[in-house]
Amino acid sequence: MIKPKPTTLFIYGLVITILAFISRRFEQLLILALVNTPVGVVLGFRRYSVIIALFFIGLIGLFVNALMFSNVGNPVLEFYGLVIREGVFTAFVNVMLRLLSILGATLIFITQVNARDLIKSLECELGLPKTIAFATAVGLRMLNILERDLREIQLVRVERGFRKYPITPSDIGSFLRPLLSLGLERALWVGIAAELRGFSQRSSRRVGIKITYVDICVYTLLITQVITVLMI
Amino acid sequence: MSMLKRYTALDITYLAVVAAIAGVIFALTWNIYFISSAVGGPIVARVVSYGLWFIGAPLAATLIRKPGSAFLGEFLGALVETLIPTYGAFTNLIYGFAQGLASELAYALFKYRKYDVLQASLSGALAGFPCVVLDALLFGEVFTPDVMVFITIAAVVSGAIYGVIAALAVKSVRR
Repeated sequence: MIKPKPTTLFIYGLVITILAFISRRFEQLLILALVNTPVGVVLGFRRYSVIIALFFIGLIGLFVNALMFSNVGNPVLEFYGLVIREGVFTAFVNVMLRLLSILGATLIFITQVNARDLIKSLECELGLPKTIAFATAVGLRMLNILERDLREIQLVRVERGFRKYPITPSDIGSFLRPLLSLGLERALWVGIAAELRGFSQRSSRRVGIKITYVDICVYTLLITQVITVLMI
Repeated sequence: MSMLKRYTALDITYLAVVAAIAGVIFALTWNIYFISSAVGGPIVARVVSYGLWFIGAPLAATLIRKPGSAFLGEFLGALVETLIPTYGAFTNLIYGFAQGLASELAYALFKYRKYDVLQASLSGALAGFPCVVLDALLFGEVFTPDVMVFITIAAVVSGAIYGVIAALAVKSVRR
């Protein structure tokens, strides 16, 4: 199956997110949510079910938030003496649609893109500086090692009678120090190795964006949404 | 771009470490935010958690001590968080960009000559302002003016506290 280019999906996700940020009206947000959420949820249902579940649990918080700060307008419901006004429902639905649009766009992007391919194509096609591309690539590579370090720190803390999970700022400091120390030790040798291989002499290889018909479909969908939302 | 040319390969790998650590912290902070929000409400949640989302900038700047390092530390942390991915999804990038720029201002104010605890706390504190504005845009969290002041103060104080923690952690490691 031909997939869209990582750059295309990155641009798609970012533009939809910005659009969701600036859209204020119900109709605008409804269009964005209706297009992106079903596709995103279908694509990401298996791999990212936790995020989808967290989103729906978070809806309770959104409702409470709306109840606290937007309880204005005509009364709609009375629940054990608590009057719920129409402003609550308007705010809840608008924020929910906004977040659904962003969730959908992100799931479309994440399920179709490998992080390494994304960094490579952002550097080659969009001219992302090699400093940022290299730092992100090394950072992503270090995530697994960092997770292992974190577990070791937790183990040592438990054996010494300290809390396993950081709660106070001082706990966070005591987690940060060994993490930084171990990470910097590794980074030193990665940096030296990169420099010995001529990293500072290497120039970014720019390749023009070659658009396939799948990319054209994605861009068409994006442009249609942008025009529709801005026209409403 | 010329600013980035001053970075050696070692600086970039240090930046990568900060991005990875910040990305993990940012991802875990969602749990802290939800728990503290449920237990203590919006103001307590901001004091407890928001500073953790601003920690990338003071960590990177105190460590690398070059112009642009605060912005890159925060933004790359957000990029890593987006690619993990977390509950915040693509919004992380927008927050990371805005907070990174605000944090960078703290070091720019001192003409990039000082990268100490004071600058780190200021860098964390300044990130609170764009964060509150973006929250208002995204979640419609527009409170009454007096509550808005408290919310902003909570974000700023939290940023300052965690900025100090980040700077002290880096200083103890560099020693």
